[in-house]
Amino acid sequence: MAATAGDVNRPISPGSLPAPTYEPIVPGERSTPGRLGWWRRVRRTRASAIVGFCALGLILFLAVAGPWISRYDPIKPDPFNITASPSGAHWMGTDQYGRDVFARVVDAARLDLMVAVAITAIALTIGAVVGGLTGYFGGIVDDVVMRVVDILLSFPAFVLAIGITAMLGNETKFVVIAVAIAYTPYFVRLVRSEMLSLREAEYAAAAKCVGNRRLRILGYHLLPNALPPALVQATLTLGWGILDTAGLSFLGVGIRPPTAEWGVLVSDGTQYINSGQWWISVFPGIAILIAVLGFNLVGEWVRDAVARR
Amino acid sequence: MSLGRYLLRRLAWSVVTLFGVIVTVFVVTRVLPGDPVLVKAGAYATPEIREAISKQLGLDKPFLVQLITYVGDVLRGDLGESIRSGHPVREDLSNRLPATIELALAALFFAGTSGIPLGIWAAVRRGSWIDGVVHQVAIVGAATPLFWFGLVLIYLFYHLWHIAPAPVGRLATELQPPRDLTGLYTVDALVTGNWTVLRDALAHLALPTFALGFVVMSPFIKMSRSAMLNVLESDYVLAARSLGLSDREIVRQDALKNALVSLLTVTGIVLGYLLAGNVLVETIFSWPGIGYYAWNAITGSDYDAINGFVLVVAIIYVVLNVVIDVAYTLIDPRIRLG
Repeated sequence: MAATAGDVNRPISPGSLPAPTYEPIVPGERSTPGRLGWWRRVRRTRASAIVGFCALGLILFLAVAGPWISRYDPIKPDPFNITASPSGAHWMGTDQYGRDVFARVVDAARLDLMVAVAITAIALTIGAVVGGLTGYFGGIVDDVVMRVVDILLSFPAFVLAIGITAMLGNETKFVVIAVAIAYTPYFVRLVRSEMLSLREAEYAAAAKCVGNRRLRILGYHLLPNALPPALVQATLTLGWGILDTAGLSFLGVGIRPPTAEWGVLVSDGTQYINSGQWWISVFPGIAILIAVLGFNLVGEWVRDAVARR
Repeated sequence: MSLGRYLLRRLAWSVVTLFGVIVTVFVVTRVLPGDPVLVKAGAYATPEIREAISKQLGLDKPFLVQLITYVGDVLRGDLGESIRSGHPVREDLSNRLPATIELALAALFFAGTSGIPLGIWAAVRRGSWIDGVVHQVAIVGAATPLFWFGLVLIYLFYHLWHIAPAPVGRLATELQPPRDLTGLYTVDALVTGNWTVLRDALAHLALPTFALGFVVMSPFIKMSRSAMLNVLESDYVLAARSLGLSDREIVRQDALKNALVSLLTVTGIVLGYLLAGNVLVETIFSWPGIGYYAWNAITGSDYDAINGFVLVVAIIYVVLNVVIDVAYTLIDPRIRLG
């Protein structure tokens, strides 16, 4: 479900791209000495970006410090404490097997973050390599790759991921592969189009003149400059990766219970919503919301930073 | 390039894309490391049964023959048979498609009619608190897990406040569906003047529409805001202002029409969201469309049905994108020339 979805052949109209915002550079401001320099920089950052970093910080803290915050086992059932409502002992209540929902939400944070990072890393790496090579060298390989990319983009990403996981099976690594396949085309297209304009740059010609080999120009001179837009996309993909992973698990083609994963947790509570035990589903969903919100806000911040470059 | 030739080329490409989509689904189902025989026969099948199934699927034949057979089957409309329903998958899907279309159209309508005005409002009041709040709505909407949001709505509106009907299906069980004209219950009930059914159908439609619409609203807000900002800062709006036209008139007459092109782009993006989100929403609300069918197929390991669903959704998506592209050329003459 990427924001860049749509047909590749479609021309981008001048009205569809938001103009990059430029912050005025005030002379001398950067060199302002004093201990409060960092604080001034924080204050100049957009409030939404700060919220985003705080949200991610919270999720990251839960993921890392989880086992020390919660004294309950996220997997082991406790038959004497079934569907207990939130209380001092169980902050987010317990589910239908008596497991502490908070312990499970915290345990899932680590898995969901790792899955999202793995998905994004795969998509970004393949995108950078394939997009870089095809964009720089062009030719028939480029044509073929772009057709494949077009075809993969004709599937809504999530639906393609459903099809792949349904065939591969319910394992975490297959979920990662499926979602990564669905998002890779976006990265290929992005890096390629950057590369197309960069290879005409004068410094590329200069690098060639002084005798650099083409692969070195591509990897050392051009790729680093083609990557920033892909990094924006990567930040957003981290969020979408979480949403899609959770969605797949919710449908039953993703990560399987009893593993603590946010989508599995929400799915656990669906039967109990209509009898009033809202906490089983609601809290894990809020965790997803916070994490994705964090990645989206930070993604916006990265995009503005790239646009200011 | 003339309009006719442009359209012809666009259609030719879409045929190539459709072919590619069919091949992709084939590759995903037959070539990826998953074992279709194991999947179809189950883990406890005897070797004889497995061999028979392998033969039935044509897996003993060379790859190209398999591919050609598969493409031929799909082109003839043969998507296999559902294990659960015992019907051809194509029949199952086409029976359930109207329910999905009704929900998707309702959500698209809701997202558009609330997202576009919100975006325009934010652009006109750029930098004010209104702009800020609208931005928050867009950001939160894009980050909301759809399946969770649907559950929250059910909890609030059905369980707690008893406003919404039970979140099962398109109509209350005691009501007969209206006479089948379009398959969209609300439209059919409206045409035949069946007010009880219309009211009930709308009541059942409301929550899933809101859930799906809220989540896909954010691209509408963002795009209409930035498009409107661009237009408002353009020279011809400046000219219109200098001629003494009021802001309201400018927005309605000039700006809106010029922002239309980018709104078409958003609609293309949103369609992808809608087709994907439908699976989740239909599952939660037991909405008898193709998404709910897909979920049933997933839980029942009904593989032909899952493949059929993926293929049909991709085909719908490709076709709709062609329609949008054609609409582009009709709105914006610059594209034809480019």
